[in-house]
Amino acid sequence: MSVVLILALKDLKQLVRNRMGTFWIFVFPVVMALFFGAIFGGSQSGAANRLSLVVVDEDGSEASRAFVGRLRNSAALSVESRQRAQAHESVRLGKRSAYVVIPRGFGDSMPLFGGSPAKLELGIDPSRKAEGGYLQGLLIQASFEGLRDQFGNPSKMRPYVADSLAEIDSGQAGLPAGQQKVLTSFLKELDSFLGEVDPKAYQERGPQLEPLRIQMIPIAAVRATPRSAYEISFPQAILWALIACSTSFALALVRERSWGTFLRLRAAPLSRRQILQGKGLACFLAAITVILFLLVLGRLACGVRLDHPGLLALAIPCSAACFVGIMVFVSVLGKTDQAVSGAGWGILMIFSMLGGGMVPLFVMPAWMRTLSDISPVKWSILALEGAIWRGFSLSEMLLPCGVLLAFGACFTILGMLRFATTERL
Amino acid sequence: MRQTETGMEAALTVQGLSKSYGSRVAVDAVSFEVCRGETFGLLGPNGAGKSSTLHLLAGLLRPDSGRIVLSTSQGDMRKSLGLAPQSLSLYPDLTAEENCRFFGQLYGLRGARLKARVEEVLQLAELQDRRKDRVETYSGGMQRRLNLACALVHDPPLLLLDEPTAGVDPQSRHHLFESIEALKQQGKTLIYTTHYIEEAQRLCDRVAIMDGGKILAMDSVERLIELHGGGSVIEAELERPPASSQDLPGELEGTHWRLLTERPFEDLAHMAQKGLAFHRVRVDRPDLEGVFLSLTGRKLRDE
Repeated sequence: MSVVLILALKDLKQLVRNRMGTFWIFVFPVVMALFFGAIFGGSQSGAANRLSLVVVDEDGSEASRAFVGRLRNSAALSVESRQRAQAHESVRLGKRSAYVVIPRGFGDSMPLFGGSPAKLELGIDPSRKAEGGYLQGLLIQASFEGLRDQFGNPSKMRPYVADSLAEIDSGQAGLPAGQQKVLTSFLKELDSFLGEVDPKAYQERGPQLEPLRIQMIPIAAVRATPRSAYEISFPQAILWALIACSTSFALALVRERSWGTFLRLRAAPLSRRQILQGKGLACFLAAITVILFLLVLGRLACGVRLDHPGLLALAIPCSAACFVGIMVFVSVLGKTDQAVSGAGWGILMIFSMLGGGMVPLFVMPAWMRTLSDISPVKWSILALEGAIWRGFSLSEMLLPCGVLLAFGACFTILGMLRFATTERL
Repeated sequence: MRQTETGMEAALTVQGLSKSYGSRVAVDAVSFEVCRGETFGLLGPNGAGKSSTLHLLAGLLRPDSGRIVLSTSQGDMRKSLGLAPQSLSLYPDLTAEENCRFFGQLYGLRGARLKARVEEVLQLAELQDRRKDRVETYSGGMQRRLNLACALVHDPPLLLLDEPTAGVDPQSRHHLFESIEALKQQGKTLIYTTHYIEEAQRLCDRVAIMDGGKILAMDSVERLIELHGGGSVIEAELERPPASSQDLPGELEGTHWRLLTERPFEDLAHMAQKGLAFHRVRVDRPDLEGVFLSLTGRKLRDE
């Protein structure tokens, strides 16, 4: 067994016995991943990712119930029924996105000709413009589906034709005499046609009332969106584990000095480089272990995808190597526990804030996303997400992994130079 | 094999060793030889340069000038040295056994040899019963004993002990003395720094008294006293004042007589023959402390 491995195994043994170190490396990231995964919505395929709509059906007619049914069938909406006051309160308190009131007379106000159109009331925070527009579209879609159902079925359409003839005859439509005569003639012919036509053929070849059909191509869902919030929170948690790992081993090197064991190590037949390599190897092995632990936990408990083991096998060691370099650099920034701990957490917190370790990058303004390029945390998250849900190809993985290795090498060289200066004999 | 001036085999030869930290000279052209199996003491007040000299010998510091030749060394000199630093140098979160194993492994010990050596040094330190306990649960004395054990685990022929009894209780100090005496009997060469004179007097075959980075005197304890200790002091209470004080050397005040002499017992016998009757006599012979203070002065050292 090489001296470097002996040093590393000793450090790993010490890490396992250090309860606080174990907590920050293994327990805290798990708590963080589960907590943030849960508050950011957990599984995005669930109801949490739909617009929440409260429906107040004051009409209670067959038409209004059919309308509510169509809203409930929408994959984009999560619908619940309430009284008007409750609906208003739940939107005002932000518990629901919006409410819609179906007023009395809704079912009676769907004439073919003349009269007023059916009315709905939509209650929504005016600042939620995008959601408001989206909701209006969904309501019109549901209404239009009702019309299509009505016009596409001869037996359902004939009562409406009869109602319209009666309305024209009674003069309620207020049409000029010439138009009244033409329309009456047309509606009678239509009624006669609807009575004779084969319903099946009519539905298949009659008026489609569908001016636009949009085909959804599911590229985004498969390629570049996380299946759940856990696929974002677990890579973030891994970064926190790596930060804790890096700081713990940096402190371990300082403690060698404060415990006096560094003297013994230097008096022993091994080089200063081997002492650093021992610490680096221990940090690397601990980092790999905690990444694998979190990924397996994420897979088993939260369904995080591990469909690309080859890409993960690239992302994991590159991330670990980067944080080993940071550990070497941080370990020589001070001579006491407090100095190194302060410097380590200070630097790594800034990296974390910039790199999406605290707030996901997509929430940040564009200039900050550009600035985040200087943070190894960003590249590490990108590499892990690339292998988990971004669907990166091997060539796409090379950029974040290459940047991580470059960061690791730079920090290691800087750390070793400073170590050589501070430990000059 | 190099021989010393006394014809013994030299284990270590130091010639013109110097080390400065900026303008402060810590070790100033120090030269000495240590024979195989000898216990050599570096005695001096705080800041005298003892630990710096030891660190130079251990390779922890690079000398500005001078030469160190270790006769027992084959290949890497550090493998022939065992260092017990002044500050406790142990992993508090590991057990005594794990500490010994780890340091043994660093020196290339493996398998049965490692196991046997760990057993031996734990026995020497009388820590077998607590071998599985973490060092952080040990008393100061136990940690000191383990500190020595870790320096011994690779069985080095030359041991560098830097104030190994600092801050321990009398029982642990006594145990450490016995351990060091046992090592002497095993034929180990020891270099021992201390500012406790009785330790140097008890354990060391030869002592170098250091101050200001220099060796002020170096020899066996007896020779140092002989050369630098000055005379003995006789203090006596006479039964009655002498008839005439003209033939009485020294100082006389009533019946209290005081004499500084090189030959106290001959002088006492001579005075008794002359009829002087003693009620009480005390002879203070010179010791290493007298030598130490006469060479290094009585001024306080606060480093």
